This record gives sequence, C-alpha cells and structure tokens, in this order.
Amino acid sequence: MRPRIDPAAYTPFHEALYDLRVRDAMTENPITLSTEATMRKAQSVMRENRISGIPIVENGKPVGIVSIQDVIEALVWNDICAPVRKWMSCQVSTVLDNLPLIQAVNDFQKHGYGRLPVVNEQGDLVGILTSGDVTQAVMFRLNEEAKKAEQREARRVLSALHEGQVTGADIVQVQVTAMDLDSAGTFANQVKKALKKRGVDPDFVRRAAIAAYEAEVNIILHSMGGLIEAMVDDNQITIIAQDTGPGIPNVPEAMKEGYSTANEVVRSLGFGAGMGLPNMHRCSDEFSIDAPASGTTVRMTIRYGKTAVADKPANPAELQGVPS
Amino acid sequence: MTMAEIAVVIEAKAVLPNDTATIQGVYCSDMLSDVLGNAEEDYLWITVQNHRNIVAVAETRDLPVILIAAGRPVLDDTQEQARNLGVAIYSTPLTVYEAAGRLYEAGLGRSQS
Repeated sequence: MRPRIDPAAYTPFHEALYDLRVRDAMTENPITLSTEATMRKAQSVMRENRISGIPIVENGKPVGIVSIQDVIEALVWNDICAPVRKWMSCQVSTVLDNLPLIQAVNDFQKHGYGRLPVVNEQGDLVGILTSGDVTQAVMFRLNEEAKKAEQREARRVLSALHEGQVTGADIVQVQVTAMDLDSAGTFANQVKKALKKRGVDPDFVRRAAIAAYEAEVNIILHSMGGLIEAMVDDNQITIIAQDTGPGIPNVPEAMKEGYSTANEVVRSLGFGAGMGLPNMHRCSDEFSIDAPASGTTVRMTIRYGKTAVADKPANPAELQGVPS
Repeated sequence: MTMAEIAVVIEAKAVLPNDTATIQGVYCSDMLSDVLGNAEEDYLWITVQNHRNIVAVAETRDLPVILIAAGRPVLDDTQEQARNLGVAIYSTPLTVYEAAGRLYEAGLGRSQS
C-alpha cells in the first residue's frame, strides 16, 4: 500500500514507522482460542490476561477474532455458553509480519481496528499487534536514535577538536586500564590543572575534578578499560568517559546512592561506596549515561561561564533523582 | 585552627608536614566517594585508609591534610604520591573517634556562636 504521508513532512517518527517491521512491534505467541471454546471461556481468558480481544485459530490459521464487545453481545442475548464461532467476527483482517509498521498503522486508521492478527507468509498466526504495541516500538526506536545521535555529536565535537577545527580549547585525554588503581586520579589531576590554568573559579574546578575522578575510577573498577576525555574552554568543560563493557544492566539502580557492585577487596580500600554515579550527577550541569553491554558512555558538562551559577540548581538534593 | 595546633591536640606526628595549613573543619570517613561527595574544602580528613589512592581523593576535594588514625602505617607509595600532589599527611595513634572527639572539644568545625 502506498503510504499516505507527505514525504516532505517526514520526521524521525515516520522513519521509524517505515524502518520497523510488524514483527518488531507485535506480541509473539498470542493467546488464542479454538472455534469450539465457549464465550464464557473467552470472557475469563480476557479478564485473566487483561486483553480485549482473542484471535480464534484453526490449524494455526486465524479464522476470526472475539472482542469484549462480542462477549457483551453474547451476555445480552443470554448466550454466553455458545461456542465462539457463533459470535466471533469472521472477517479477519490480518497483517503480514514482514511488512513495514506503517502498513499496520494505515490499517488501524482505515478500519478502526483495535488489534490485528499477524501472520507469516504461510498464513499461520505468529503474533498480535495493537496500536499500543506500535506506539511502544516507535518510542523505543526513537529513544535509541536519540542516544545514538547524542553519542555521534559527542564524537563529532571531540574529533573536530582533535583536528584543530575548534581553537581555544584544551583536550585532556587519558587511556584508562581496568583495575589499575595506582593510576586513579591521573585524569582528574590533569583536568584540575587545565581548569586552574584558565582561572576557573575553584568551586567549579572542584566539581569538575570530582566528576572526573569518579568517572575515571568507575572505568578502572567496573569495566574492561576505556578512554576518558575532557574538552575545556572558557565557558565549560565536557567530560566523556567511554569504556568497552560490560555495561550496566540497571542504570536507575546504579544511580541510587549506596548501590554498588564492587567486590570486598575493592571496598576494603574505600571504593564501592555506591556514590560514584550520584556524585558525578550532582557535580554536573548536564549528565547522561548510556550503558549497553558493549560499553558505557558517560557524558558530563559543567558550565562556569557567566551563566554557570544561574544554571546550577540551588539545592543539590534536587539532582538526586534518577534520570530516565 | 592551624595544623600545628591540631597536631598538639591529637598527638599527631607530621609525616609530610604543612603546619601552617588553616583547617576549617573535619570529615571522618573511609569511603572515598563519601569524602568526595561530602567533605568541604580546607577540611581535615581523618581516615584509617593508608593506601595511595587517598591522596588523589584529598587533592581532588581540596583537602590540604590527611590524618591517618589508629597508628596505621603511612605506606611508602602513599607518601610519594602525597609529595607529588602536595598533600600533607599526619598520623596519630588515636582512633578516628578519639581524634575527632578531641578536635570537636577544641571547637574545630563547630558553628561560631
């Protein structure tokens, strides 16, 4: 089907709808019933699973769909013990699993369906798709894209600096080795020097140094090694810490004060207080973290230009919240 | 209080001295991030940690002096690092609690009334 969106009006949202396939968004292994199940059974399955429609299947192929409306009809006619084949909608519109998601969106719009059974090339039912599934899949994709764009931007800025396209900025760069605790603080110390050299207010120097130190120690203690970089100009410092894994399975948990995965040895040295990420967050005006298994990237900006004081929340406790 | 005055109160020995450092208050902790997050500049840091990483923490947080309590030895590479980064180190046979208690009694870090 031809998409009905003006190509001039394409947004990342539309791109996601064309890029994603129906099978990326659908719920797999949907709950189904046979044509001989009773409407009472359909009603109890809907209630137990909090769903509002059930595909009816014969030999793996969808032959109908029963919705809450059908159940209500059956109740009104005092016919709740009848088999579903009597009350189901037989005109089953399905959607192929390998079509772009936009196809399903158009079907939802055109026919007002609440859900579409998803079939494969052989016509077997492989999933079910609701408009909620579509929204969720697109939002997830947009979020991923936003994170990627942020990383690309960080890399672009850094490489521009490396190539000398931006003048008047200093670069501090330290390669960090896993478990090399003897080197902890090397980066923070260099950051401090670079800021002092520019005559930055000591309060901001300290905040940057703490953020730098914690990021550095996190790479040493919790990763397989990585690179930590800072770019310093007269208005702000941006610190980007990138490691090569293994990521953080639960970032909101890791952001909580007191949460730590450090081992006993490391804790006995006074590391692993569970305050590293909260400290970084508190010290930064901008803080972002992305932690897939392929590696964690933390990006922090501290502004000390003329606007710096106004930008910083007066109460650091306000920053204790966990970023989404 | 100057570090010289403090040393008398808590029977501290200067390992790497900075007797003229003016100390505004005290923070006691053995967790490094806790110190980074909660100590304030020009505070005396009292700890039983004696490995070299404490020096970078003090330097990062602008703590001019580390007091290593409970008679714990000041390791060689800790001293070397402290010399490099310009952080003073004192040591006392008193426990963290005793040292902090005496300094509190002496009025250090209490709000002026």
